[in-house]
Amino acid sequence: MSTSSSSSKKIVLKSADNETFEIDEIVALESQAIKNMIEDECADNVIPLGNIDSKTLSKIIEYCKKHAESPKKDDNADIDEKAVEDLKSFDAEFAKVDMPLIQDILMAANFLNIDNLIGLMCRTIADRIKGKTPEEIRKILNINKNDLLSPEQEAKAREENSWAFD
Amino acid sequence: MDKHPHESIDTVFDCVIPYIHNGDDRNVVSLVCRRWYELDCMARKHLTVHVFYSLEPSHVAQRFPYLESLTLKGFPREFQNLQYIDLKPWIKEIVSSFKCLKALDIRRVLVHDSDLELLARSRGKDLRVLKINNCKYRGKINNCKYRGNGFMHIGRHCNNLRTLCLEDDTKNLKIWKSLHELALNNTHIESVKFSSPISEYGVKVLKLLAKSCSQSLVSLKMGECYLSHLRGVFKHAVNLKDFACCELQKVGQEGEYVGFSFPPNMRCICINSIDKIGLPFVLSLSNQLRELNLKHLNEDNQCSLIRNCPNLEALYINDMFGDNVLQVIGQSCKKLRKLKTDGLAVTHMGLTDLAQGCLELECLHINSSKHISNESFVCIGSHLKNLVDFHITLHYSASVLGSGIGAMLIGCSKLKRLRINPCGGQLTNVSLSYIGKYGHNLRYLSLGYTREFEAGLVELSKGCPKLRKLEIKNCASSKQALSLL
Repeated sequence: MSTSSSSSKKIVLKSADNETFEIDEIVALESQAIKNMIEDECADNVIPLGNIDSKTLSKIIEYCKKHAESPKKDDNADIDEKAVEDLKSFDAEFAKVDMPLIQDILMAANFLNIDNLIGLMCRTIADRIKGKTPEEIRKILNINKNDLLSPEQEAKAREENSWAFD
Repeated sequence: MDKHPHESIDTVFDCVIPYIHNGDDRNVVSLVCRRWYELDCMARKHLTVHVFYSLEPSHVAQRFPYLESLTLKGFPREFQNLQYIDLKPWIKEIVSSFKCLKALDIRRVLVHDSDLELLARSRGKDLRVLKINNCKYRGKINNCKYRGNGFMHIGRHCNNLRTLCLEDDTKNLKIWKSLHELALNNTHIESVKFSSPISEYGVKVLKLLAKSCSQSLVSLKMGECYLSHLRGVFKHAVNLKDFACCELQKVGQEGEYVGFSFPPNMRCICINSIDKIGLPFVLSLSNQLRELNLKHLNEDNQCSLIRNCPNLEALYINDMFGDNVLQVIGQSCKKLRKLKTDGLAVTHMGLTDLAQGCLELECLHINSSKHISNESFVCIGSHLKNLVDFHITLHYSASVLGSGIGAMLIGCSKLKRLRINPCGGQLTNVSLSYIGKYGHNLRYLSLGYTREFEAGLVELSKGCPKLRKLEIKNCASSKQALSLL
């Protein structure tokens, strides 16, 4: 699969802060939302993404590029294990970023409808909050004080939780 | 990009919650903020409730209206003589609320025939899974003789059931009515488990059930029977994978097994005390077996069977063959995740061979051991990184357990359940302080035959933040020390 040959079709994405990214169409097709736009022929030369900043967008392009280049599972039933391992370790490295960026990527991936990336970001967030206390989770996700349960509500929920456990 | 406007934060939360499955984590999630509390209420699919706390069933129904699976537990086994809690209020709530409920699991509670009838009539069609374990049964009207009619209604009305489990220590549940009705009304049962012994009539009912559900039935676990009598059942249950029974001891005769064979796709065979003539039928499937119970086989038979089962993931053995058997297991069963032994005289040598060979072990119960030292525990800690559940009974060990327990808890960081049953003074204050210091993940801890624990308990109480259940037998500690826990 050649993704960088000059003959392949190019798509230009424009971030909220007006930076443009020229990428191969095959990379853009990792996003179901962009794929739909292209198929419906409502994608102009430049696709504006007014709610995704350039930092987030460049991360997402990095992810899509790698995944577009990797052989897909349904292409070949006995896909070599090395490629699978390679993609796994790429994903693991990719997710090693701070929480605000993970949340930005998740929201953008949700908007662009990139299933694998949504899954990866959700697993990453879930792994970071598993085994933590509510206070620690609030800190990790920077939760606004106004969004908390009232002390009475929290006490009641806590009491009910203590009766219901595995 | 706007830094997380409120709606986007909700999007993040909505996406993440389904990735948190563990009940403890879900409980924590519900306390993080209002939005997560609400989301958890809507999204929670499974809940376990300990009904001996006075939690109102209606509260649970209001908070988690979309539960698909509910487990209701009575007092723990140890307190069972105290009281069986009447499940009537819960059954009433289940009948009127929990509209998405598909699975119900009830354990150690009081059940009336009328409760089962009401449940079966009103929700029977919705239920996919019904498990009733070690409950106490009453007749239709208070204290009238229990006739088991409730079970009949389950068989008659629960015609979408996939899993039915009716277990009871007394082994005299009147379940045949239920299974007979089930065989007449249900064609997609996947799993049946019960503990009653099987009469001649029982064999007929099972054969009928296997015929009705011949494509779907994959798991059959039951009480005492003669294996050779199940010939007809196995002929129909062509997709059966799991089978467990307690075979009756008798002098086998060659002719009895004529025409007998296990279904072709068996993965799990648990037969207490299989006879010599039945054994070759198990041996012929050994390469495909994932789970095996070899209780009451002699040493040679055990070892030769185990050598032929490279794919075993769970193994139950007993009798007094000790280290040899463990060595064979360590060499042959590289995929083993669960090993429970009973009456096996294991020493440090056998335990080392096992730990070095079976690196995937998650559950290890050693019920009889001698000359176990701190080094044995160190060895477990350095090899069994996935160990979650460890029980050991110690005999004839002189050494006081201390640093070894610490090393094990550091190495086996996933360990949640630990039971050490010493015969003498192997457990001391030092042992307890190690457990307190390194038992970060322990949920259940049981320490038998211990003395002078005062200072140890104080140390223990400072650690083990996740501990839910602590058993200490023969302990002479003061109330003051216990109150610290």
